[in-house]
Amino acid sequence: MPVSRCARALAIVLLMLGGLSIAAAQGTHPFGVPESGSGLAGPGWLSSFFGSVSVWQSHFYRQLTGAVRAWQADGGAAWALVGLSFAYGVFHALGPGHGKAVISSYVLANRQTARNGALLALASSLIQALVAIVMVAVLALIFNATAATMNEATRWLELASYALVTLLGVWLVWVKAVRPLLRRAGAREHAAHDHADAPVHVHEHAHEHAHGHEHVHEDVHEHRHDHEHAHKHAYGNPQVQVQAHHHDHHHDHDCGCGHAHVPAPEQVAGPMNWRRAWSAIFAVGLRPCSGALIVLVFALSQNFFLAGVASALAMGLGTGLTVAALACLAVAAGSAATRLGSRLSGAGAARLRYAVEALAAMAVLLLGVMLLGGMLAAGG
Amino acid sequence: MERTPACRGPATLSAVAALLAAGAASAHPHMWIDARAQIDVDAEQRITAVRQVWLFDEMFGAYATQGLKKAKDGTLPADTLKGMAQDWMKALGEPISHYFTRVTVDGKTAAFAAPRDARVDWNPKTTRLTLSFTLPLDKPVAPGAGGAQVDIYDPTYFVAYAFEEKGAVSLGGPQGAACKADYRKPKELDWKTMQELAAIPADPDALPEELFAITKGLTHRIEVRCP
Repeated sequence: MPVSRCARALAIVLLMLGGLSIAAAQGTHPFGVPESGSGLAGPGWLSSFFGSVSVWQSHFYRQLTGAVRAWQADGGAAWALVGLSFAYGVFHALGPGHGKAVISSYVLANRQTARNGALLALASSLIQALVAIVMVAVLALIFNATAATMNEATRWLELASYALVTLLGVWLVWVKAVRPLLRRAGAREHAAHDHADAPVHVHEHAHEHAHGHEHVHEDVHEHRHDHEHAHKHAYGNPQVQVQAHHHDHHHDHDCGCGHAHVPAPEQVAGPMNWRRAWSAIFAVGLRPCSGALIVLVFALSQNFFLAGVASALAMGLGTGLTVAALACLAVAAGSAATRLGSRLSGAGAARLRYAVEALAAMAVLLLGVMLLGGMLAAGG
Repeated sequence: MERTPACRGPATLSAVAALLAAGAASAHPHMWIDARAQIDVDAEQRITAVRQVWLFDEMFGAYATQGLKKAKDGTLPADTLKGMAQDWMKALGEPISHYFTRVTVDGKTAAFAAPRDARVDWNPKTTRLTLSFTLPLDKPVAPGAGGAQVDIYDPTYFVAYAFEEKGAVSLGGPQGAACKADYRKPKELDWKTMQELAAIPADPDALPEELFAITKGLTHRIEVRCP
């Protein structure tokens, strides 16, 4: 039966999402170059893919020295460097690293639209490039700092980045995994003991939907299965049931827990909540990529810092576009899961959606804890 | 994407999760080393030491020497280079790196004594750094019938070695000429090995042993035989 097969596949996938950072061995490399992205172990079955990615990435990276010189010798050769850097960025994003994991999980947990996911990805990669540029400009260009100083700075940024990932994870787990359960339990109790309270309920739960599910309007047709809330809601109160049915297309995202009929308007519609998104963007972008740092310093050593800046930005663009594509995939996967769930039953859909969001939230937290723990274990 | 076939959703999901599953132990190289190794063989045809010269790529040279005081001709002061050599050898001595070198006879790993003659050179013309050092064996070992295997590689894949220069692998010492050294390139990572690599726990102390066991064939290997 296809559905059960799919359900199994889905379960496996979700498990993997949850366990996506089994290990974070963040050793310091003997040669004192800030090393990123290594030591993250995942399921092995795609690792040959990562192997080839790594080969291609090295292939582009190794040509960067020549490209910087070519540009220096001939202004028209700038595009070679930009193109190589872009390609490096694309492959860099396809390889191991926490950025795309955080962004995609964030997008999944928050049920962002594809557009917002792409924006998040691009913004975080751009920030990452800018952090590298500013860091090398300030430390190396202005203060003529040594590699040791830059490594130190990178480690602080890394620590901040991992701490932010962890905080983001804690927050997401609270909002997406824990609170819905508490509310659900609370709602059941309420319903069982005191039906007259239903309207109060509504108000209590209203703010729960504040988590930026901006795609509601775009996806209205996908969320018909939300009758769940109505049923749950209607314990002995037909009026509320009617109301719920009436409104269910407004709040597609409440994980089978509540029944907010009055989500704050600015949070249901309109553009992304940037204030919240910044936490994800900085969590990912604060830690500069070592490839960019090294190219920037190399360009500086050739008295051609501009080439390094162009290269770092092109890398950021390549990385950003790739992560954007992954984030869109995550969005597609999220709604696929919802659709799958809606075939089962209304309750199934809500549960599945809760599971996807909660697991994605836990994935962020787990990743943060692993990265932070690995770093602290390695001696900060 | 209204109503896709039932399994398309999960297929998409797997693709995402796979890409999210942030990768096996496959960091990509950020450093390239053109390496040379000479294995010393004593009068009793025992291996006593591995001498290595590692020539780093230019980008690393630029990074590592950034901000260091250079003389007018671009040279670096001797004490700076000395400090660099000390730092690197200390870091390389950590269990996780273990000098990126291993000597095995009959399946047993020979222990190293403290490294000697470590020095760093900076060539301002090529803007490349060189690290040279000698890694003496704690006790000399005879290659025996099975030969001795000298493996060089970075298990984290951060450094890519190349032994491509002519004479990059050689034998030295009193009886060096009596023995033979065969060099074998690392093979490409295959599916199964990558899987095994991915399954390794992250305990740094346990890494080298297990990695070396799994990654047979992924190292730069010098096979030494004395007839």
